[in-house]
Amino acid sequence: MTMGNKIELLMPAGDLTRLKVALLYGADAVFIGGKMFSLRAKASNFTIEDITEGVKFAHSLDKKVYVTVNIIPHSSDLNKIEEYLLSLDNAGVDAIIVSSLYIINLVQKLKLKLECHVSTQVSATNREYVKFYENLGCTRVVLARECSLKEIKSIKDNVNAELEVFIQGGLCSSYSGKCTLSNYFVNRDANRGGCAHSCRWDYSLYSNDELLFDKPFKIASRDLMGIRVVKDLIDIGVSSLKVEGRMKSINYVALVAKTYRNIIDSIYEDTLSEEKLLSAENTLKKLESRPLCEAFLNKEGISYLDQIYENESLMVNKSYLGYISSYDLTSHRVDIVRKNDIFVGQEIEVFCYDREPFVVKITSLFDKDGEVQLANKTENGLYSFINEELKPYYILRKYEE
Amino acid sequence: MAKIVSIFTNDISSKYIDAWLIPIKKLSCRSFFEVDLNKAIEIRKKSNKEIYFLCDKLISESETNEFKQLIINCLENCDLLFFQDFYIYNLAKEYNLLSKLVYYSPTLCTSYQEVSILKRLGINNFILSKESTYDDYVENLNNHHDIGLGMLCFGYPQIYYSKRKMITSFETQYKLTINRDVLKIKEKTRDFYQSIIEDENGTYIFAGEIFFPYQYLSEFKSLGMEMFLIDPSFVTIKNIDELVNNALNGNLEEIDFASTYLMFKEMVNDYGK
Repeated sequence: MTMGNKIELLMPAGDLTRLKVALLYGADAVFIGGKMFSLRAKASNFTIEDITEGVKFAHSLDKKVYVTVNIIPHSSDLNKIEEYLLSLDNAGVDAIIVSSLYIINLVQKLKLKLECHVSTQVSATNREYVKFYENLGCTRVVLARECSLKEIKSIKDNVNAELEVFIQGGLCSSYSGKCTLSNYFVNRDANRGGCAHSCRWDYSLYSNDELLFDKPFKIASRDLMGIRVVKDLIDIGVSSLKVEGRMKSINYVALVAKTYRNIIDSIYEDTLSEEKLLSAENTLKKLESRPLCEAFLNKEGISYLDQIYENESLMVNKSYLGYISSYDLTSHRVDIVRKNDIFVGQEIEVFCYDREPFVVKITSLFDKDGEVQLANKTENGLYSFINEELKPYYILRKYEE
Repeated sequence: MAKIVSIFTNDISSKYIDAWLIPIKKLSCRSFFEVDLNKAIEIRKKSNKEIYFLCDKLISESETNEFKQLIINCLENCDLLFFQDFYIYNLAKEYNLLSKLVYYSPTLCTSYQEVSILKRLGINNFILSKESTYDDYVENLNNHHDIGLGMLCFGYPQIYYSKRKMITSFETQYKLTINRDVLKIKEKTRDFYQSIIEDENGTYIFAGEIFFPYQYLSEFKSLGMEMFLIDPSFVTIKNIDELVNNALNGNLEEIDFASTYLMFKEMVNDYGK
């Protein structure tokens, strides 16, 4: 398979650390949210200074940063939008992900260098929808998650704009951008960053005020895992594979990025095997807290099994211990940002972005109060001494033989 | 001049209705009021009112060829056509029928700035999204005097639109056969119900209270709002058209069932505030 125009792996990043982790572990680009005009209000969104630093880091690796400006704005939301777009452009942001025609128009009026990618919030489900935005100067459209592989191919064959497709992560069960459940129930506007995930709540189904069945009527979708259709999407000519989840952990970002990176590279190197796919699936399944499905990307079509019926949250995997924030080559001191308990004598797997994983044994631990046997407090200046050469953003995981 | 427009049904009085909005089979999100295009054309021929077609479905790529001629026929045979999918916009543009379009997006048409851009693209009529606040309505009316603005003024707002068939899935999972005539859902911690329907295009959920901002309709009318849309789905109250007409003329006392929906709700976590 040709390596030219290799498909982009686009990862979410909720903060600067996750941005760096995503790019180091294999993403070609990241999408982030600013403090304004972005969905996912609860994600720890970026200041302009953070964005500038993130862009510098990405560009130093020849990678890209996209910023979500994808609220569906009401009149009063658009104050300061010009100033904000100018600051994103000055920061060197490669593209914004946008739903509003007004904002798309503003980018052109202000003659900005950054490109406009059309958000999935508009639910572009057909070629003409894509062409509409293409004609407005948008270079890429994120397709609605309701498109099947056949439909994606048909769209691709008829448009010039780049296509971006969701490949992993949470799914709205409604058409994106068309749901006002959250606004209606709890005054949290999903289209302005406040989604309360009301589709994941328990409902009951009634007919003429009579309860029909004692099981909850749920309208939530299983999460998406499209690892088995990556090759199909590459063959179709899709430009970018998008992983959802700006609120996901560093561990999630690192492992998902590396897993998809390996599969994408294997496809281009013509070394993809069932064994690699199974291993990738295993990794991804361990990371997700909800059951998974291929949803509309499934070649057999959407199934009733793609819905959630019971409270099916899986056990949160506690194998993630933390990550390395710095390492001193001379003293071998390693500073650790801890997420789960670490203890002296523990064997830890170090998951790396630039080499195979390896195992180290913790022989000592220190925090700001001195030597400890068990590190179980957050933000406590944890460090150790390890002779093996380490690097910032290596991930520490429980070693399981 | 203000018009009262109602989704077409034989069940409501038409005394004060100026135009009917007919949901077109296969192209609209309303299974129970849907009418085949040929029947809709017949209704138009016999009617002394304006006839608009509702084609607010999101069209899948696999349906584009099948629906192309149907959409063109719709455009040619209506007074106005309500749409949200830009496939329909592109077809209308190609056939020089942009003047027949009414942009009817459930969420994407709230700010006057957005409407300005759509106006520049040749769209002259808009139903403002149901999420609009009082300020959005007023700002739009104050900023656009040369186009037709409208709003849902009576009905249960649709709050959810999915391509997935939720009721069928539920039936399959639990091996049930459900009578779909009057289905409602209720969230377990809340004491009100929302109507839910499923048709060949997916699943729709509606708010649990009737949006009827009767106190503000005459003000909006005086500011230039042209279309006041009635959606009679699930409504059992009689003489809706008369109620709306009276509200437009400022002749309504207190109505206990009426809600202003999201018009005055302060949203949490919304950006820019």
